[in-house]
Amino acid sequence: MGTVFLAEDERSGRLVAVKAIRPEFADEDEFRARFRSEVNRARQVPPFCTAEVLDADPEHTTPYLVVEFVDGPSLAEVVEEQGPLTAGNLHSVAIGVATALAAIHGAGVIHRDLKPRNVLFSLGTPKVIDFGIARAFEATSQHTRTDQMVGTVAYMAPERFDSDSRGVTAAADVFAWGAVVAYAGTGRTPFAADSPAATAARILTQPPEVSGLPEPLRDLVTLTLAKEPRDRPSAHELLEMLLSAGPQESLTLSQRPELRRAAEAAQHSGRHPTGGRRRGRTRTDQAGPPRRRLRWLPVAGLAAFAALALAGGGLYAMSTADTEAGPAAATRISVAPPAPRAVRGPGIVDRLDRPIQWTAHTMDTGGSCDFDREFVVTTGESNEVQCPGPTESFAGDQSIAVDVTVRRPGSCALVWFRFAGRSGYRLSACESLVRLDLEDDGADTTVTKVASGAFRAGHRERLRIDLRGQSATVTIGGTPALQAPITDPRLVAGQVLLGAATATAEGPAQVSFAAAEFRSL
Amino acid sequence: MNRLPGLVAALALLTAGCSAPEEAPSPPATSAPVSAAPTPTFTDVSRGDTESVVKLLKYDRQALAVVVEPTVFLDGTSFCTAFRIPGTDPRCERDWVTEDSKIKVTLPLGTRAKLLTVRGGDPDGVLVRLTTEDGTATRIAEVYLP
Repeated sequence: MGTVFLAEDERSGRLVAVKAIRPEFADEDEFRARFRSEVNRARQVPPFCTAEVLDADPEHTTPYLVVEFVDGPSLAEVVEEQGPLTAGNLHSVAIGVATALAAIHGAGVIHRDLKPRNVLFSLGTPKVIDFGIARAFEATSQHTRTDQMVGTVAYMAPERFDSDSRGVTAAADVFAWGAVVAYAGTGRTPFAADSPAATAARILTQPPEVSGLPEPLRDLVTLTLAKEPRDRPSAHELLEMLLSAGPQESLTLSQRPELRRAAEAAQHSGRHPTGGRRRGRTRTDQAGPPRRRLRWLPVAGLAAFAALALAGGGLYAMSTADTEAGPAAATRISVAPPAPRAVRGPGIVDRLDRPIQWTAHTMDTGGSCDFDREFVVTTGESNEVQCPGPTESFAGDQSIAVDVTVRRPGSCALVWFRFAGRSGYRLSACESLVRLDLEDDGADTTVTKVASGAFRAGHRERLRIDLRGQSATVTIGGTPALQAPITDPRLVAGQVLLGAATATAEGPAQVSFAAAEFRSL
Repeated sequence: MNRLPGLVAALALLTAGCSAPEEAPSPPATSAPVSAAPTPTFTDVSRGDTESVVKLLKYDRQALAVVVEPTVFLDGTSFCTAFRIPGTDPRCERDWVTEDSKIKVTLPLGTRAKLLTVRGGDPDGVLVRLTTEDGTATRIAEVYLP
């Protein structure tokens, strides 16, 4: 995002970190407004296991932020050099980072980029840095979204892979807490895989791997790594569970009085409703079965936490409407069962003969997406049309199948996949060739192309794209047509979209689609 | 949206265990499971004649279309047996439990299809008993869950 300078406060002699924002952001009014707003809120975050925000100037030619200088290694550096943390230090990190999140969320701020490199050790006590900044970048352009995804995908909550992740709530930070603590205790992230794409797929579809963590911390981490934001505890609930947990937590707190003081202070700091959790709407209230009876367990003592730990499998904090009103709301949790197996990815099945998941749409340029027994896409003045459709984000292995008809000579049917923001892969099915391109914010790079006469005008053909690992295989009418690598680390998840383009300059292109089946594999 | 509210008594007052795995959660010979695993399977409502409990995601009478999500709907005991979940699990004691497929399936709505709801409100997102004939929704009845 910019350059960090070590500076000295002339008046106090105190060392500070000055974070200067990259010049290209300075010219964006939207960025300045967001940066101003976020910094003002970040300055209200109490310094409980956080690096204090000391000053900022969003109006400066080069906007900057001044924060407390934490003279110590990051959690990432410690684990890389010394291996996973042992029990005492691990619980110190768990409590310290939860304390920081409680303080940050209490001020109405969402961190959005919590990861081991943003946890620094100051005299052995963890401090979280860089909160409340990422959102300013996400709100402006696509400049850094993809950059950030490369570095932090292992700590990103499932909802952050949605095509519009701006609705992300504080629950995403709680998920990141679980991933950070798992990394600290085992040396690996809970959804670790060979590539960012595979990691994203595991985050979206697989249970976490936390077997190396000690109990009862393991159950708490599992709880925070729930796929659904509403199934995760708030930072305050998490902190309360940690503070009233097992012997190791008690020992850690007795040995680190400054950590206990910070944790208790954060515990009683503001409780802004920033979470996207299931307050007033439990898992079962929403879509599942009513519980025959709720089993409420007080989390006031060690025995209670031990009982939770012994309950086995994942724990799900459950709030109900009647627990919302009073302070008791955060002091009781109930036990719910583990998921029976891996979470499924999405799927879409549509004949494309009538509007409902896809809708009719006419562009200003004269292009259109409409229904005439099939889904008919026509370009207007522009050379390319992309039709709105289901917004489900797919990750990992996937199959995309759809019937394609090139209705007018010189037309190409387009299928985008792993499309997020303005980037993704685009398959063009044209009269004389099939081509796979990488579309990156308006810039195209051809991955591969083959000559093919399968999509001659007026002929309906089944197009299938199988995404497995880092390879895409295209078959036409059941016959393999091409295979290509899909290895761009930024394109780990995204929508499937349909559209059309002109291959020649002989008037508007027109293609149609039918019998769409998009499935997670 | 054309609804027939207040037909509580006429609705599918589904008791738990209406689709125990051994009895197959429905697919008649003309339909195939959407997903190969696990058992029990989700009903492929897009083909053949089927009857199953699904989640109604969208209902558009004008477009004669619905979007549904196939589910597994079982009583607690059957659910735990089917998914090999220990009997101490709280779900085993529930009257009914669902497992969602996460697959959104668009179906044509028969011109004479009936939508039966319990309270007459917006049915989107509720569990319904769906009847299809040759991949077309012909009867949709909200599952009454007192």
